[in-house]
Amino acid sequence: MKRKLTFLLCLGFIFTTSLQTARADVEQRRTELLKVLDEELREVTRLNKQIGAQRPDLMLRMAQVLLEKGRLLKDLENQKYLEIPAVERDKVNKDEAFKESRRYFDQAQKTVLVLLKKAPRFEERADAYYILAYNAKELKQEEQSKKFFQKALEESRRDSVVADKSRIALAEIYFNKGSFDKSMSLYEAALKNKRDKWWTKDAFNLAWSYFKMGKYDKAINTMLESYDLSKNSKYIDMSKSIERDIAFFYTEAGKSDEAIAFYKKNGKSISEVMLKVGRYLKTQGKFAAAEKTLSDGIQYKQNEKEEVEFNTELLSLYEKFGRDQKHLEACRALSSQFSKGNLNADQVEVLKYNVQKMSALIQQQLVAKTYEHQKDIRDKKAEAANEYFMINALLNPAKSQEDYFHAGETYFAIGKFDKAVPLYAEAIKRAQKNNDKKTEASASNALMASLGSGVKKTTADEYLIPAYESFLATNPKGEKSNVVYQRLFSAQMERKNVADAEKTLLNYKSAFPSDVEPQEKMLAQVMDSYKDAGNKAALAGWVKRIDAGEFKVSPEYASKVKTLVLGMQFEKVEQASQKGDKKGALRGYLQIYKSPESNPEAKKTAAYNIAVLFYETGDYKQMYAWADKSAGMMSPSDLVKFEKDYILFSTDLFQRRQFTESSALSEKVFDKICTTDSKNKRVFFKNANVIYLAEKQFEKSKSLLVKAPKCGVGNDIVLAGYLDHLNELAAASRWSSFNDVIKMLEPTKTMWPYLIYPSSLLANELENIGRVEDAKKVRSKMMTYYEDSKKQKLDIPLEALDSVSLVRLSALEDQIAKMSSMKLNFPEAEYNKTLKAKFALLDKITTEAVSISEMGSGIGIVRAYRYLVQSHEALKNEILNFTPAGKNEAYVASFKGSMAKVAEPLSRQADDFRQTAIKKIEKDNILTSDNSWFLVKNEFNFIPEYFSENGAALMDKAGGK
Amino acid sequence: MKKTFLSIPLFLSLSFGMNAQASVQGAWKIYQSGDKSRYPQMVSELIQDKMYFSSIPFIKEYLATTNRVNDAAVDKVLDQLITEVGVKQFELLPSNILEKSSAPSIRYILARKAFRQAKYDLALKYLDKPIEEWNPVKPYALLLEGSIYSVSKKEEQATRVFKECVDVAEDHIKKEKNPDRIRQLKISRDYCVVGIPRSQFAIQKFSNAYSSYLDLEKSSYIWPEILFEEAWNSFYLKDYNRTLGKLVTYKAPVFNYIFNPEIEVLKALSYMEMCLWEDSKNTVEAFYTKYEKDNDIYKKFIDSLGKDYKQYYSLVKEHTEGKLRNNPILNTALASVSRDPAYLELYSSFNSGRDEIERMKSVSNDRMRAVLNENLRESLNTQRNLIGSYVRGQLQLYAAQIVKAFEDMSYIKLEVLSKRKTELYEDLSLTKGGRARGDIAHLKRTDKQYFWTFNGEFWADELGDYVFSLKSECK
Repeated sequence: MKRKLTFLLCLGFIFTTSLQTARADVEQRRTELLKVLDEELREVTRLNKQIGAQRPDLMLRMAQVLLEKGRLLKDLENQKYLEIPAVERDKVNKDEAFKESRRYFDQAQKTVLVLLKKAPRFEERADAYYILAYNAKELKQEEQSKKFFQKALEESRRDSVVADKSRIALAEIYFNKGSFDKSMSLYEAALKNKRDKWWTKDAFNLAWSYFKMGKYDKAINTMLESYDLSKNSKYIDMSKSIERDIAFFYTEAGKSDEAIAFYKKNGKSISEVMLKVGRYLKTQGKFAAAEKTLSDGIQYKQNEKEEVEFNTELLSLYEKFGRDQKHLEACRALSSQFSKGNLNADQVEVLKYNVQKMSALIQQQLVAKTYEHQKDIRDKKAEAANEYFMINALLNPAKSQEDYFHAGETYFAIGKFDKAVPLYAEAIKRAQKNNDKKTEASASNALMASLGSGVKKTTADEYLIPAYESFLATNPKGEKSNVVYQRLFSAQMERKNVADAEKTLLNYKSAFPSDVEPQEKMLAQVMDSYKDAGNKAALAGWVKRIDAGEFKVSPEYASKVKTLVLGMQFEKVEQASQKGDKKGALRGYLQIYKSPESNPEAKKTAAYNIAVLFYETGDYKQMYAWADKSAGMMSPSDLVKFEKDYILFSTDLFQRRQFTESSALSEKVFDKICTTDSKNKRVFFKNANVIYLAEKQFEKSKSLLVKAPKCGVGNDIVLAGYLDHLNELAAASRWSSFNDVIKMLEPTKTMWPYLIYPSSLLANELENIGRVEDAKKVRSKMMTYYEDSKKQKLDIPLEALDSVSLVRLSALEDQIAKMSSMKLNFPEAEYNKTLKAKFALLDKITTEAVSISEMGSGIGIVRAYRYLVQSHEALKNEILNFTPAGKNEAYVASFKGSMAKVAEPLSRQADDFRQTAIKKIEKDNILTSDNSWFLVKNEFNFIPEYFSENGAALMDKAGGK
Repeated sequence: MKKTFLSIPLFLSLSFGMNAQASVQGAWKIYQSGDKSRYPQMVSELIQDKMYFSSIPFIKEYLATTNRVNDAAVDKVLDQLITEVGVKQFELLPSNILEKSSAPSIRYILARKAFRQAKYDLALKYLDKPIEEWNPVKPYALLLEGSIYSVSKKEEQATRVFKECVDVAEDHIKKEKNPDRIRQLKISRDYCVVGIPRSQFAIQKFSNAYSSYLDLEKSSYIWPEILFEEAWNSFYLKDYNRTLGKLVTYKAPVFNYIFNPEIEVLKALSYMEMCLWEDSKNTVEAFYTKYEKDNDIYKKFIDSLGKDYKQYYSLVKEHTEGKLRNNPILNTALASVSRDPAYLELYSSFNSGRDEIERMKSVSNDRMRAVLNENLRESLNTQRNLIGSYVRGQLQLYAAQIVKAFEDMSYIKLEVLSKRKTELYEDLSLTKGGRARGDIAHLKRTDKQYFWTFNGEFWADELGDYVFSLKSECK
């Protein structure tokens, strides 16, 4: 076990990385660190107890942990202290606030002092002094700290870790104090060995020490070495700082070329370097050199961000050296980057400052008529000022109206009114948007003034209306405004902008309600324009408003308006209808329907009424067409209101054998009222489905069936629909679709009784086309339906029972055939064996037949009894007819005698079955093709399928007897 | 942590023929003559009557009084006697007395003494003179010689000697009938087998050692203790999952008797190497919880016994007879001692000595019987004290091991805490690439989950072959 743990490294981490670690997760880590330190303290104590003596190395460790904990607690206390509001902070007792950490520092101090006293020759005492030094550093006892670091250095071996750490600590103290000569020599000694990852960071300080001491070459070389090592992951990466600072070193050493070479070699951009160097030169007050460096550097720019940085730096330099054009260009470039969102807040501020300063300066020059006699220069200056204002407007959108106003004023000042007008107009717009009444008023006045200063017609055309509007916005009721409203109205009407003219009319009415005459004139112009345009609806609107008294008009004008409106009415239709003038009514409705003025409401009512009229007149084709149209136009709720009429329509169509139309109409209405709660939905559904099936339109039926449940049609109706569908499919031999429907219905177990019979049809069909195996499968399924339905006590249709019994009878036939195939034969033992087997089989047959007869199927009952009688009689006959070969007579006689006794019960049983069958036929009124087998006794050797009691002739197929 | 794996068995056995005419009566005559130079002859005659323990004082007296033994017959007597009573009785004699004889068994005893004093060259010098292959001490001497080379990091010589040792021991096993001696020989042979990987381990050929350890059969009596060495070897191979797997074997109920606190130390160390800080700390804490209190009581108890060897002897004896103590450490320690090959050898010799008491009754000469009885009592007392002393040594050793383990555990924990601090200061564990890496299952499992695969069932053929599948969390 390595007993000597490397505490110094840890301590190094604490002091050198503390700044880095104090970030967002500092709380969490500090808490955990405190826990770890507590654990460490406990463990050191426990270890001390185990060892049974106070060992100096453990005491040292204890001191280190105490110091570490003290530091962490102090961080925490400090944070809490800083969180106290500044006003209250002064009142806080600092000793109290930092009490806990102080306690640990004291304990660490005491422990180390005890250690040094108890073990004065302790070989790691330098470490102890090192702790004392850091402790003092923590307590801000700088001199004490320096003294202990010095002591740690003296007590340590020259090349030990603690010696180097002490040197570095001392070097840092001197470095921070600006004693670079001392820090330089201490760093030099400490950094001879590249002992740890902090070497690069310390070397960086050494380089700065060299630099400050004017040893530029050494400074650069040290930086370069630190830079190289920074690439190694074993060292702290100082490359960023070095890349930032080495340019200064090179520049100061007069080695700019080497700087560029350095950055090139290290794949860094020259532009970045020149930017750094330029900035550095600016900080050093070397502006001319800075301007040159930055102006050159911008050529190497790698991206827009760099361009922004260069231009930002250059602005102040251009201004300083009066490079107006370049200044403007830089501002232009920066404003372009601003639009792309590439400027940070500081850069925006710099740009703002520059454009505001320059625009104000130029405007001042122009207003002061500085360039009155140098028109070219004056115009250029005005353009520049304008551009600065525009940039500023871009930078301050909330106050951009002022920039536009000032730009306008600049042009106004030099008499360029055509240029000033659009700027004022824009200023007004922006002032309105930004709710700046003052600027709006100023700009509005200025605009009116400019427009009255002999501007071009095009300018006037474009800006007159905005100027009026703007004026009215700020002066809605002034004396001058009455005329401005009328001018504005005229200008708007002239431009055929009726909508805005209407607004002006309303505004005028509001501002000057008693000035009736101008209002009437305006109204007349508006209504004439609608009349000319044939816009009756708009006209009607205005009529309504006039009728309502919203506008005061002269009686003549009022009368004129009414006449216009009367033409819009068509009440004749209803009157005709009421009088029984169906033709006239039809014509009227048709007109309403066709009229472009009719609204959809009128149209649908008209269409419905037309359908009704045709129904009444018996013109079913027209009736269908209009019923269909009106149904399409009606909303679901409308249709529900009139649904009974639509049932009448579809029934009428059905009765007239117009099946396609009838079903289409039913389905259309059904679709429309799908989402309503109408009870007649099922009627439309059934009507449509029945007709589709009758017409063998299976696909339509199926799609109707599919959507029915979604429309809330009950399962009883839908399933019945499916069964109809199924039966029709069978009737039409559409077996593939038939199968699909069965599969669809199969998951609903209550349907199973109804699937039995259709399945038997499918099985028969499959058998007919030779797919015996498939037929078997279907029958097997059929039996499953049957068994399960029986178990569930569901009602099973009679034809289903017949189908099942036929299947079972078929199996019974196989058994009977098997029995027949077993032939009686001697010797006696074999005879007995076969006979026994036959009886066993007969017993089985009997059980099955009785079971079939109990199913309730008429076919099943009669045929099962027929098979019973036949099989009993067959066995009886076989026994009686058998004569053993090669036996003497006496044996044969004896044998036959015995066998007659055996056969006798069979005969009796056969008769019993026969009588039972006849009774059942009569009692249960069974009518099957097998009835004749029991009931008919004639001299012919065949049994007719049909029987007539009153002696009709029986004929064979050829018509003969 | 530095490891040495040496425990040399005491050895022994085999008898060989002497003068068939010798007898107790003959011995009496020599004794009566008072001529101590003839004591070897007298002893030889007593050996004929299997009076081994009662002969010991005579031969010791002879060695003390004679100047030098230059007689092969005397050497033979010594070999024969030591084979029967064990080396311990003679190890007590000062080296200058033992050096008077060059009997192989005496040279072996001298070499052992030198070895214990780390005088390896001297030890080799004692063994320098060839010992016949048939000599009962030969396998043990070879084991000792191999061990000397091994600790001297002379792997080649060590391997050669250990291989010879295995062959010789096999030969002896084939010829031996006595079950106790067969067991001793097998143990010695197995120590020679593991002597080879131990030598390789000593010179850090861990991969070779890993393979060589496989030569030791699991059925070996010493396999359980060697498993721990294998765990260390895997540790040095940085195969920490295998180390943990081997260590978990000690949880098997069949190994309840193993007393080795360092098992837990190695476990904590392995976790630490895998940067599984919590596991490592938990192991340390569990160890303290388990042993701290009990160890105080244990230590007080064994200190209270002082050097009363008889009590130590009784402690183990009672333990083997089923008596359990209140202290779990003491119980495990006694179980461990009772299975210790060295203890078993001492105890086996002691039992043989007790058989002599019965034989003594057949000595008709009352005076001779009185003399021999006195001798026997003295020898058996010595043997019992040797056992007690050995037990005391072991119990004290265990106590020291626990204290040492406490210390090691504390240092491990401090190291773990240091590393954890470094992580926190460097912000390793709290960044994305820190503790969150790897399977979340690794983070959520508890200490108990390690044993899911074992589920309380340790299959004999799987013991020692378990391998953990923990993922190292070292950055």
